[in-house]
Amino acid sequence: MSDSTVVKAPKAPARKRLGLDKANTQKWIFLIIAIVPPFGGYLLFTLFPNILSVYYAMLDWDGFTDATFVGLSNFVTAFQDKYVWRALTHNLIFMITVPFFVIVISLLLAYLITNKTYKENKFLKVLFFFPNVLSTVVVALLWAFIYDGSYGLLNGVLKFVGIDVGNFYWLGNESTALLSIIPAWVWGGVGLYVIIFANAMLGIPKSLYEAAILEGAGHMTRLMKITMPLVTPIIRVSALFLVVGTMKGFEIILIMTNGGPFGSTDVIGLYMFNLAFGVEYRNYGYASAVGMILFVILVTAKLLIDKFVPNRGYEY
Amino acid sequence: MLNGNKKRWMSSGIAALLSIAMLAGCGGNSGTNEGASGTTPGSDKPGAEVELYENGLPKNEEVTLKVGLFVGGYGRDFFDNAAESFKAKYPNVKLDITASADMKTILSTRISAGNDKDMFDLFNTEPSGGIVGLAEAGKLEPMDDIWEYPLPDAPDKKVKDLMMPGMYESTPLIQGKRYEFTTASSFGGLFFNKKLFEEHGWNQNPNTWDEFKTLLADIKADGIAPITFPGIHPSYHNWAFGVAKNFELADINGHVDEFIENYRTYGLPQYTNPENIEAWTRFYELGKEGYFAEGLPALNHTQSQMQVIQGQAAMVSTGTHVENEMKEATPEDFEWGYMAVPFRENTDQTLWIRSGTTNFNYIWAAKPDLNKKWAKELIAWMVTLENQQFAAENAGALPMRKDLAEDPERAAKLTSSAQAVLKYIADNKAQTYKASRSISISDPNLAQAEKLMNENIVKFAMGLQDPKPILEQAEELLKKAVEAEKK
Repeated sequence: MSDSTVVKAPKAPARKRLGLDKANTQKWIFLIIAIVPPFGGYLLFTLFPNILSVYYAMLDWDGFTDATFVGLSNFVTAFQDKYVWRALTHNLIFMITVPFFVIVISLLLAYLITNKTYKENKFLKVLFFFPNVLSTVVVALLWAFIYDGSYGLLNGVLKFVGIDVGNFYWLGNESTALLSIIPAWVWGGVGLYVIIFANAMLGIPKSLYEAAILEGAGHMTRLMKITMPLVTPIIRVSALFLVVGTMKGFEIILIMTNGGPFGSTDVIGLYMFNLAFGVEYRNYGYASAVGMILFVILVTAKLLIDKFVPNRGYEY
Repeated sequence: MLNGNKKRWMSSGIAALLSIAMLAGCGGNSGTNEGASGTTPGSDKPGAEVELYENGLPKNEEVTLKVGLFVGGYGRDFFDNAAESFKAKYPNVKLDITASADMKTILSTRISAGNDKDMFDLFNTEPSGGIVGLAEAGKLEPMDDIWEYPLPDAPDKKVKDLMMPGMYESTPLIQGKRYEFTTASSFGGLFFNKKLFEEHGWNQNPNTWDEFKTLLADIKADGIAPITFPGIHPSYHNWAFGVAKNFELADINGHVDEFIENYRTYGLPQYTNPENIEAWTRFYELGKEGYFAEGLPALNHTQSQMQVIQGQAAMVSTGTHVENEMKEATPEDFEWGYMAVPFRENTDQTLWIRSGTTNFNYIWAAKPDLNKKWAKELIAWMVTLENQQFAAENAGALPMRKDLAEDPERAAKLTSSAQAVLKYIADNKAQTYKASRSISISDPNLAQAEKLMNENIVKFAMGLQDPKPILEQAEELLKKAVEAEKK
């Protein structure tokens, strides 16, 4: 690399030393320029605030007046707070369903795109990816209109197929609101993973499939014995991203239901946000304590995925 | 051609410069950039005579006011219009405006950052969590003196002399001082399609609770949902049915002053006092009768207001800002009507109307004195007749100048919702009031009490939940919060 260039250029020993010094300095300048801004940004804007949150979690602090150190009191309150547990239950439901459906649907679509020679394949890729281009606000509003009781698409379609539910407001009913959010969340997330899985599948050497076909393997055998094992590491990482994203995310809920009706769609991120930025109430300390609980849950989820989702890589 | 070494040094140097520029960009306005929010002396010659405006402020000192502008139902044109004429009159004053519908969060973040220099000089909405803690901590500038300012367009009159009756009195006091000043308020109640009411012959001004219930029964009998509000943001019920109704009941019971003081200081009982129980019980009774719109729990505030425009619901609980907010979706011949919910039993008793939270201006205390003085001048400027007229005509804001509201020619140009409210107040014995707290509580039990109530408002409205046990639970939580706060 650059060292070899420097060694070749100068002929005299003194010039050679000077060249080496210069190369060394340049290397360090390059390393500093390359590493300090991103690592400094990470330290300053990610790690430091997160570490600070541990301290904030032990304060009774509204954000602008003098803080009072309250030790673990916020954590005790959080563990006794029924809204924390209710929100976590809802998170758990989303954490199980959303990643599952996103991965299954994405795998299916990716498999069809890569293994079927539809002439519309390119268009389909763009179409599947399209929801990812939309902001969460747009996705949420779109689905809120789909679920509208008076003019909603869903009620219209149901009526068309002979199921008349009248002016049923899917997001206004305690028993359907939570389940209604899942399709919106899945729809908004599938596109990205279709592209990721499709590219992973395209990376599998054709020779493996050709050999399998020669030996009489059908579609299902090829899928289960070749494709799936070889994309498992990608699925594993995707599952991790989805679980963490679903656990932390609340924007779609904020817009579609704001945690309602009657708290039936409240999630921990939304609860934490309202504790920190509520209209009539603000307590950064307590919100940080709830955030710490979320952090512990996310780390646990990560460890569980590490333990139970196989991390076998295959070389080909 | 450059040789390899030179190229490498140059590329390293350019990269270093870029990095430094990036880091400098992250550094914000610290340093010597006074213009961001500060004053710049124009002439410092010793002995030079300083030219002053009629308000006593110097013409030669350039000032840049940082303004945090909440863009809500009234939009921002009314402010921009006033700002332009202000800058034309006082060319040494510049305005650095940050406008956002999410100004509450922006304010909270800036306040928490603790950098006074980065903070707005002036902002027109409360940060998350309200202003009581800020005022108590000395972070806000008291504004009692603005009421004594001469009006820019009527110098022989003080601001106080020409403001709408009750505005001065109802401005909340925190530790004996006023920290806010409104220039364009929004009054709450039930807003309706006047023509629809005329078509059906419904009573547009029910005077008592019984007359009101009769009206709701009539509307329901005609197959229309009588009342709607956004169940996704249930606090919107507050515009028509909120704390103002508790005040009305306390007034009927003869102890309103004591009640308001109790409310402001979180005196117990808050949730289980007789007036609050009565107010929620009435609300629940309406819910049991099916007077609230079907699907209400799923509606956001635009959808609920659309229900009235589309004739699915007769009335919506909101503020006068509704007209400007919905102007793109409203037919040209649509005329807004207004009524307060009368909890009273006869017309001798006073109706209480919620004065909203729109455009209450605040000034940050830790700013140069000259900035604060100019910020107050800007606020006073916004209550000139011309600016008030513009805000009323174009944004639907309720004028704060009584000489505007009393001038038939000017009043005729107001939006239909503003006219309807002013007419209603003139025709009825009504009192407007902004409910506010004078102390702050940060204990998490308060958050839980508020959450409990918020989540159940829609259940009360749907007739699904008797409010009494919920009020008792909320009171218990508040009691814990108050006790924790005393420690």
